[in-house]
Amino acid sequence: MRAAILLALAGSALVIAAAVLLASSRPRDLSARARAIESTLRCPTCQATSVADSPAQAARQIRQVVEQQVRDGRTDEQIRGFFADRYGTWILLDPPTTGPDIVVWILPAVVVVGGVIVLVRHARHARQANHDSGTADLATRQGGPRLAESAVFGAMVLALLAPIPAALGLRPAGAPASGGAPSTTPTIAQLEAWVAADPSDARILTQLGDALLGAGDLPEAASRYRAALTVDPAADAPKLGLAAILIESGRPDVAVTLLDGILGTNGASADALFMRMVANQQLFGRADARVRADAARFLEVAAGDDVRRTTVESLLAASDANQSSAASASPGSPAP
Amino acid sequence: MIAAGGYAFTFLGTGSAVLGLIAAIQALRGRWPSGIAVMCAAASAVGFAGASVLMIVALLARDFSVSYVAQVGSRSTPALFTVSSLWAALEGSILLWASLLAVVTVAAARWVTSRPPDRRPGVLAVLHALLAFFGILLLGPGNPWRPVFPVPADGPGPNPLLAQHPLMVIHPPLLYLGFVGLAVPFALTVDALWHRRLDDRWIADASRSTVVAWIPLTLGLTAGAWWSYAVLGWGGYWAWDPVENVALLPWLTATAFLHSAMVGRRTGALLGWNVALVSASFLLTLFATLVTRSGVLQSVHAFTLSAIGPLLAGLVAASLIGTVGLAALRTPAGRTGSIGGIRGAAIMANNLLLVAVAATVMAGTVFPLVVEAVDGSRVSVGAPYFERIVGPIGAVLLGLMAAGPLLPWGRWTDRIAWRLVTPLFGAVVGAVAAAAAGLGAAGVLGTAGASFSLFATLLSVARRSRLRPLSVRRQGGLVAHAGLAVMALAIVLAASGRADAEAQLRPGQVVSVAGHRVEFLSTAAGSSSTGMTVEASLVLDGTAFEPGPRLTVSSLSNQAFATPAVRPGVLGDVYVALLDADPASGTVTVRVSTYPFISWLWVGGVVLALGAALTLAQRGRGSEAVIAAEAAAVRAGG
Repeated sequence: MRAAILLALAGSALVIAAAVLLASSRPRDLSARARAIESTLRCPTCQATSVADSPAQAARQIRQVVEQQVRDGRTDEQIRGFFADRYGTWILLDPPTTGPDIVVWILPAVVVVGGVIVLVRHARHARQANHDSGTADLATRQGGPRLAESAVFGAMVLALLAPIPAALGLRPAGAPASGGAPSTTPTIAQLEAWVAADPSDARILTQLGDALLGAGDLPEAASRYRAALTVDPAADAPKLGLAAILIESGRPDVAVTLLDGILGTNGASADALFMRMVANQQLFGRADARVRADAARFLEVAAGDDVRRTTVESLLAASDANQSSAASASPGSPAP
Repeated sequence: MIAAGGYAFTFLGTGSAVLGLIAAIQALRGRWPSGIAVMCAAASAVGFAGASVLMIVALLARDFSVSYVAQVGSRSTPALFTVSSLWAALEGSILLWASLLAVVTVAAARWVTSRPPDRRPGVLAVLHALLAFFGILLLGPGNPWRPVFPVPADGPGPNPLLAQHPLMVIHPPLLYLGFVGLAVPFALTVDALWHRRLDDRWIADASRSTVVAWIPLTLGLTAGAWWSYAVLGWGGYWAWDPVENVALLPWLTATAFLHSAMVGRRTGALLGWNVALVSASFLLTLFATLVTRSGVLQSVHAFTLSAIGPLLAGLVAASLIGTVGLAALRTPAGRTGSIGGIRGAAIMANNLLLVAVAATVMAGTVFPLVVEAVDGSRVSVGAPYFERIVGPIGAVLLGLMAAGPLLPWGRWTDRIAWRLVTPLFGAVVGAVAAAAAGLGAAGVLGTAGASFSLFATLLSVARRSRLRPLSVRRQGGLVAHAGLAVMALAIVLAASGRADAEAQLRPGQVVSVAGHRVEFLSTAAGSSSTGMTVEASLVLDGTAFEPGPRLTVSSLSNQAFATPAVRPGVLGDVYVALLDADPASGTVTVRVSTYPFISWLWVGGVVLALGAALTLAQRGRGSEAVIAAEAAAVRAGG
């Protein structure tokens, strides 16, 4: 019987090995190689998809570069290195096997080896216990496996706990809770560099938009805000920026629709209230009931030291007095 | 008006949960009868379920004075997706979560009463504490009922990706049901630890309630994968995205527990290990909620923007510390003995590898967050990493899954070796067929492994029905294994047999992929509830391909979504994504892909859940006797 089993084992192993050899002897064509490389590159504008899988424009451009380089005869590693140099190692979907990133590669092996040691000790202990008691009955557990089980449990606990300190206390010191600019304002060039490093951070994109808006580059600012919204469609800050641009470029009516949307979800946004007030003022004049309602609401919700308070107060006072001429509220760009 | 009612119902739910917690603690101390806590659970369920129903009413009535409706509602969203908007954003998801948990609490309270000792006080204390936590989130930082003034005329609607496919209507509730269901075995375990009653009844009930939660969890994960395939347009079903990964973690540990519980029931060994797996499964559902709902994924810096993230982190930390402390102090110096012969050894190996996969997925998901938090740099841990590590471990797991049911709860004999050799025939057939079909080396090996697994499982079914013809329940596990083997085969074949072509087409031009001809006729522009759409009319192999692939540009965010067109088939799908449409020249850019056997992935997922459901079938006296006899044999034979 043993001989028959061994024969069956050897026979199937032989056939399967032959099938695998046959399959691997077929030459890989260039497009398969390109695809293999593309599947290890991160699509720079998507969340987690690879260049191979993503329908995004950026991924299609990278696919063309990869296919060109494959045709030019460059090796897989050269092509991957080319993109790592341009985008940083972030572009590689598998972390490098050197440096601190090695942790993620060796952890599975540590778990398996540790687990095997625990199991073997447990089994040996159980056999010992059965042997000692002389009967096949159950024996009281002793120190060994209990300690080992606690160790495994402890490791799982540590693995679970690890992200918590990482997740806590991450707010950069001095950054306001609304996600606005940090205490030191970075320059446009710095922000451009950060965006190049990570085009998927909506906060930095918004900051860049704000900086460009401040510098008067409306088209560029608008494209950054739109990029921020692509990453995070629910973010208010880029919409505020876009509304400011719309007001600046003479479309307060469109700005009002956008601001209505923001205020629909967050009725206490002082920024949005102020901007809608400015936009409606351009459309209907400062005595309009909508302007006055927003102004009053703004004064309720705005911070006590908000510099825009004086402007709004003077506007309310002026329209109260029903004067025909008064110091006008500046329709400047109020977005922080 | 609706908002006031909704808030009142939420308040009722939360207040009853708090009262229920007090009542359960008093019952634990022997002061109050446990019936009070049960009544509080019922009141809490009425409160949260009523609040959910009112929110659906507010969504359908387009009552934009309610903040949540103003956030996710819109007049142009169809009714089905308006209802599913209840779980399209943070606050509504928490409301759904609380409602499901409240209903599960009532069900659990009814279920655990059957015989003394009364375990309701301990179980209800845990479940009410959780309910109270989520209720307080809903009354405070996650309040979906805040008034909006002035009332907007219309809202933005849900994220357009979530309003495209009916699978999004069933995927989140199933997943959440699985998540909250895992709270029941956890509560049973906490109760058992508290009373030092980690007995046979505990392990039996904990594993049974884990199966009950595991079924919707499995279906929810399958539905999520299917949705991703049908909607996102990149052709895959699993991107190893953090949101997917964290949902897989509790499934992995719960699956491990379902198997180690079999050892526990027969030998009484592995007490601490089983406690760890049950607790980890539940804690990982909380962790998944923390990761997906705190904003930590958009940017680690978004974490503290709302109070919800830190509160959830606090809940995870408190539950973890509480559970570990309780387990350390109260896990009895239990019985040890054999782990159940070679079957037990195979199950322990399965546990080890499942936990290794969980640790890999956890590490790969969390590592980038940790690195970003520590030094601000960005690293990617993506699909190639997970596939390289999980692939080989998965292959070994597949082999264990096939072999396990053929192994005895005793010693190795040559007859068993023969049982294992027979299914190698399946592996040989699979390997030869795959090589003949032109798959690569990895595809041939994978097909061989998956066919071995499927063939061995089918042999086990045949063998077992010959031995015990009427025991449906005991076939359940094998049906589940067969489902997973089918899934493995589909994964291997779709990945190694796929073919793609990307082409820019003028009207009348044809692109051919793997023997399929796709002809482009024309484009039609239109508008949908989410924005401007372009739909391409195509002809696939001579028949109209309808509905065609679409490209939707969202009106507000200017974001483009490619909704693919899929023609499913028994042997494989043809999948077309519209990448670009140029209205000036009338040309389109499409990607045409073929995925062999991919439909079997969804079928396998349903069979997997069905198999688990079969194991819940009422067990007759006969099978109890079988387990008892096997237990005796194991204890005697070592």
